[in-house]
Amino acid sequence: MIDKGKISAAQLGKMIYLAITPTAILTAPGISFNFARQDLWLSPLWALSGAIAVPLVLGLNRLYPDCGAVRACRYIIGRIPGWVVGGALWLFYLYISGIILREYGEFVVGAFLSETPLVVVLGSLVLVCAFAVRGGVEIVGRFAELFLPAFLLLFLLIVLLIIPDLQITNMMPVLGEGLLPSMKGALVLQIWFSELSAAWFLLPFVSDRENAKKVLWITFGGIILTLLLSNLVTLLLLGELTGGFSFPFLILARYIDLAEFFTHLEALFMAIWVLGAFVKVCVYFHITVIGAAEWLGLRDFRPIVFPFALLLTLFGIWVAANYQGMTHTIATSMIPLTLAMFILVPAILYAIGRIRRLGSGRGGPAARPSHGSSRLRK
Amino acid sequence: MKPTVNRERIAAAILTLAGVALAIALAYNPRLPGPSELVDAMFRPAVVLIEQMSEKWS
Repeated sequence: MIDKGKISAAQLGKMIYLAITPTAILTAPGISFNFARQDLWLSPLWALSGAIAVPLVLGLNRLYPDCGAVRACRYIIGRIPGWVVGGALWLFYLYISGIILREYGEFVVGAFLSETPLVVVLGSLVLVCAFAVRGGVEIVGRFAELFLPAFLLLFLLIVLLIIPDLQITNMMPVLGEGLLPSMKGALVLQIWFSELSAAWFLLPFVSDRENAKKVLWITFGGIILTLLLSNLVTLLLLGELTGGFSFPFLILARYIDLAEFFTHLEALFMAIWVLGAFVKVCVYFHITVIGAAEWLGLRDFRPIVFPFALLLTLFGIWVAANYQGMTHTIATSMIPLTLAMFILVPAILYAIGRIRRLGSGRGGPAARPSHGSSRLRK
Repeated sequence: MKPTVNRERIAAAILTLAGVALAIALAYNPRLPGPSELVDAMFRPAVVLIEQMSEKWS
């Protein structure tokens, strides 16, 4: 392994949870509402891609337990095809990291720091993340462990304080047009659920891997619950207006007014978002750097962290001309792209790996392939 | 002592140069077609289908 660090299964779960929910809470209700209308709150229940991703990544990890994902691609489908697929994987993660970074930047500049240039907001987060990523997977895992309680506490505080203003009539009629609208609303949510596939890159670092299956399923359930809750309170407060806001959950935080004392709590949401975005960018940044280092046949990933920080900042600017353009990309072309790269490609690799394993007469978990990394580098 | 030029250093230098080149390109042409345009073009039929679904319900 290029990164010698180790994380626990619980840390893996926390990293994956924080690598999915922050952006899902921020942008998903507004996009999903255009498909699902008043059945928006039901959409997270159709988490099909997540239900596929969890067993898929566990299966892929069982094939080559101590191999990084990019190296496992070469072992499964051969040197040249594996080189192509591995390269596509880390480039895809770089692109996704750019999208995440841009979402963070647009939110911070649009809602709070309106006079600050976007490149400064993006660059400062990437610089902090680069230091964390350079420290290795252990550091990222510890940050996730540290920030998750604060993230959950602030999220639940906003939900609790908004309860007196919720209008139950906003969700009526429930299933008025059948299940189809909620299923269509779930289409865009598949982007976030399929992100559970990122666990494939992190599983080789898990020390107590026997607990990984349980932890990943709990994480998956936690993500569904969080999205269900955020979509529900957004819908019950904003009703038909939900689709008109770029960041509906921010409006929720701004709306809270208890006894004219608890007001302007958007600072809480800002705190949630910055903590979540930091861990999210760190996780994707780490995966990108580790993937690229494996692809390039490097022995150490640290020398390429800061060059990648520059590339990531530029990708954050390059991915879209403006926020509207990026939202359009997320709501349209990102859906087939993420399903292809997070679900389809790993599923094909797993199928080929299993067939090859059965063909060689070894049904059980794989031993490390006889041809090592040094041979692959030649 | 002469520093050793290893694979890691070469990779870092190439990635930095790529970053600098992209930064210059974006500075001269901020509307430079990006990866999102490539993805839009790759999945054009799916994009049209999803857009139609969104318009129907909005």
